[in-house]
Amino acid sequence: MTDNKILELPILPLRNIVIFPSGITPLTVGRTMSLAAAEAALSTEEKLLGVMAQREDGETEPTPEKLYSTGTVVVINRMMRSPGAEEVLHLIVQGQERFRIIEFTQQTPYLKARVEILPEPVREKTPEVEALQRNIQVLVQKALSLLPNVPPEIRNIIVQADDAVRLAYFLGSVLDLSVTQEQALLEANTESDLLHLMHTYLAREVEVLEIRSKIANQAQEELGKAQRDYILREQMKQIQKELGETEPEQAEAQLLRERIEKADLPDEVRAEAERELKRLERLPSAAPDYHVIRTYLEWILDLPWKVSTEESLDLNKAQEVLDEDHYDLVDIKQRILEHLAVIKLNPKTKAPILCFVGPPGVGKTSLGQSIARSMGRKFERMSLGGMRDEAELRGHRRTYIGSMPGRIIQALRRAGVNNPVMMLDEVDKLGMDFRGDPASALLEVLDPAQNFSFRDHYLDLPFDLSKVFFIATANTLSPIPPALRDRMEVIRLSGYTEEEKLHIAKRYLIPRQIREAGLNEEQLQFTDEAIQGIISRFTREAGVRQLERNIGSVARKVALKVAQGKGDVFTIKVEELEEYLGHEMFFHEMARQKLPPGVATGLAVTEMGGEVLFIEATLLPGAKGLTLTGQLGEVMQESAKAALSYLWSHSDEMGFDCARKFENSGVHVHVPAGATPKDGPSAGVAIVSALASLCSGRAVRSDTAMTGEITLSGLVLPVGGIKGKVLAARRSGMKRVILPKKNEADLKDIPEEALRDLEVILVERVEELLPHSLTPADDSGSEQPVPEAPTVTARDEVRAEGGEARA
Amino acid sequence: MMSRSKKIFIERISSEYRRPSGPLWQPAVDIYRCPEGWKIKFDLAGVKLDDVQVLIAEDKLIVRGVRRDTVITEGWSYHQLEITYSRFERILKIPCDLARADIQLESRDGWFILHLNCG
Repeated sequence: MTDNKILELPILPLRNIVIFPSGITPLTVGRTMSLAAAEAALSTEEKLLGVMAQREDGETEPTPEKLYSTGTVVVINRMMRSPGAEEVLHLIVQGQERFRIIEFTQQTPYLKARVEILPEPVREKTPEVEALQRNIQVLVQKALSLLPNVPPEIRNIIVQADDAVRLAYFLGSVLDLSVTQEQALLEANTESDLLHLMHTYLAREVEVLEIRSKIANQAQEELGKAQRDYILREQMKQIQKELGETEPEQAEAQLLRERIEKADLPDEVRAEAERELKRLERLPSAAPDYHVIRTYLEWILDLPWKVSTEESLDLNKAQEVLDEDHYDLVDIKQRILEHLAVIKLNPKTKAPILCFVGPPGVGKTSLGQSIARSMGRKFERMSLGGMRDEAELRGHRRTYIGSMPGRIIQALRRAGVNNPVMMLDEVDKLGMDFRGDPASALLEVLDPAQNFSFRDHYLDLPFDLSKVFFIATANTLSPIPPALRDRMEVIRLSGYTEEEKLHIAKRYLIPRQIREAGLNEEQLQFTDEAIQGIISRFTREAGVRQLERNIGSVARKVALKVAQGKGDVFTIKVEELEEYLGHEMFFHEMARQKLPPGVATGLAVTEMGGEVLFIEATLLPGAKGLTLTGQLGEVMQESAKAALSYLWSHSDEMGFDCARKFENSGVHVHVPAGATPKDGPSAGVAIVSALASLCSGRAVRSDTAMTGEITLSGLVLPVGGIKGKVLAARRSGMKRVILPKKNEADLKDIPEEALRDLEVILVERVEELLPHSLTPADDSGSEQPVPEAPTVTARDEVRAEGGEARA
Repeated sequence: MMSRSKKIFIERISSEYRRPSGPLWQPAVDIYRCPEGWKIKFDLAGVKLDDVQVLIAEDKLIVRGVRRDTVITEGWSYHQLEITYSRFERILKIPCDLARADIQLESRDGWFILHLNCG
């Protein structure tokens, strides 16, 4: 190396760049030390300058230690000063040779060093170098194919390069390499070192380029599809414009605008609709919100904000319609007529909210329809049975995908008027769980003080429900939350008597079923006895559904015969019922039985209407206390305890030997059917009769059914469901019914014909009760304290399905 | 105008000649054909005759040298620089038997003229 040329040069430190001994590089010089170095170089004869890369960019006044030890000698080819900024020099330099620092001879005002010029990297002709050269060429070609915008000059230089070292230097200046990498290239002293480095850098560069182009391609593809759609859509618009058709979105928005202008909307609703329409007009039809807004606007336009049906206020006609559709039900008809009368006098009155409670099949739903008909209003029915989600009633907010208004608003849209009769069926069967409590949502709907501005979540606009005539129906009141129950005017439909059923059958059911079967009234007739036979022996229900099914069954069988040509005119007589309906399904069980001591007949109310039930009591010699079985509720258990205590403490006065018997034996009270839960205080008199019978040995009269609550002091208190209970007693063939005296008023509700065959005994105290309920002493059965096995009847099986019974 | 010329010493070097260092600048050249042979005119203003070297490597004629800025004096500074200084080199291939040719270099009016008598 000693024979290499030694020079003394001003040194220009470079940031971020390494200049290779080839190529021409523009430099901007601004640092004081660099300016001084450049000026010094310019004032020499040959304009030579040493440039060296800094190890760190941040250094503004780098000392020799901060520089790499190898640099490049450059000639300054051009120099300009920036106009207006004299202290910035623009240089164009050309790299000539590499050098190595021997020593720095000066540090201020600029760096100056003695340097040794290094020879070009030694050219080698080894196979390794050859291979590297070829590989680099391949990589370079690949890189060029991946870079779309390489200027042709550069392309030419690269492709035509015949010298591997020059190509490597050139690539070093072109590729995006770090200063360290570039410096390593500069410092390579042999061709193979240089090419190795270059090969590594290039391979990596090509890899990066490949990944980049892959990403770019993907993005391009995605963009390409969206662009294509957009262009096609724009073209379609242009074509439509040419054809003189308006754009579909605009046409749609225009249509909606016209509809909003025409519609009779409340101010608040109109303002909201117009606001939404403006949003719609700004959206392209492809936007997801577009359809949401459109559907919303359509809902607003479809709702009967101010549309009402004209009410027919002809009371006579309303009465006629009600009578035509339903037999009896005087209370309800009266209530409807009253309401119509009120509307006639005060058109602004709020619609009542009625709740029909009664067993299945008594006509609650059809009554709703005929109320609507009698008032000339639209009828909308929605079943709430099993509804668990509050949102189903009140809708989902529009933020949800696929959101819809709730059932109330939907029903109003169907009705098309804001004053329909809306029937909320099965309100006692509303579900309730973590998703919400629809019953609570109903509170708002059914409160006349709130429902004039009912807000559905979807609409989020107040809708006036106060003109809607709400009718709820339920089988029992107990599952209905008290707050909801409180809002409704409860009207009980407690079931029909046999006579009523006979009328209903003749007037409604038989004609309907004959029509259904495709017959006419001459072809099929029923005798009254036959109808009564069906009612008493083939059905056991408070309503008339089973009756209608049985009539339908007979009608179909007759239709078969007519179709087979086996006859033309059929009159169904009571003897023929078995032929048509099979064996009779229910028996008059109680009347024909003689009850053993300790068994009494009570009366209960279930969802299916009134029922008779047995109270069985027996002594358990040697045992202690009172055992109660038969799924009795707490109130009923307490009632049994009270009955026992009363008899025990008053046994002397009554002349029964209850005290002694209860002292020495336990008492077991059982109420079949064991699987049906029962509760309520009204079995008190039956239990006290059964226990009295037990300790007196006198049987309870088997033709007597009884109900009433008792107190420890012996009072008989009134109970509910008298009509249903009395009808049940009559249905079961009872001849006598013992009721609390205070229930006397309820007897007015019971049709006269139902009371005709019944002896009703009203009692105020237990002492009055027992002489009526027990058989006279001489007529007593055996002293046997253990009663016969309880009678299992078809009725019990029916009741077992029917849920809870309330005694 | 000032005109100097010299019968130059021709250095013959091997065909394996490579420049010892990085790329140098190349002066522009006009080449004339004349009855005696060739006249080659180099645009080399400001170059001293002594700073130019002519080499022959087989069929290649190499003219190299250095241009120095002799004008700049102490206390001056550059405002603009457009002339390229430092070493230059021009390699030419002339259809001429260089081995036996008579070669003379003349500096005239800022041009360098190489007289090449191929004989």
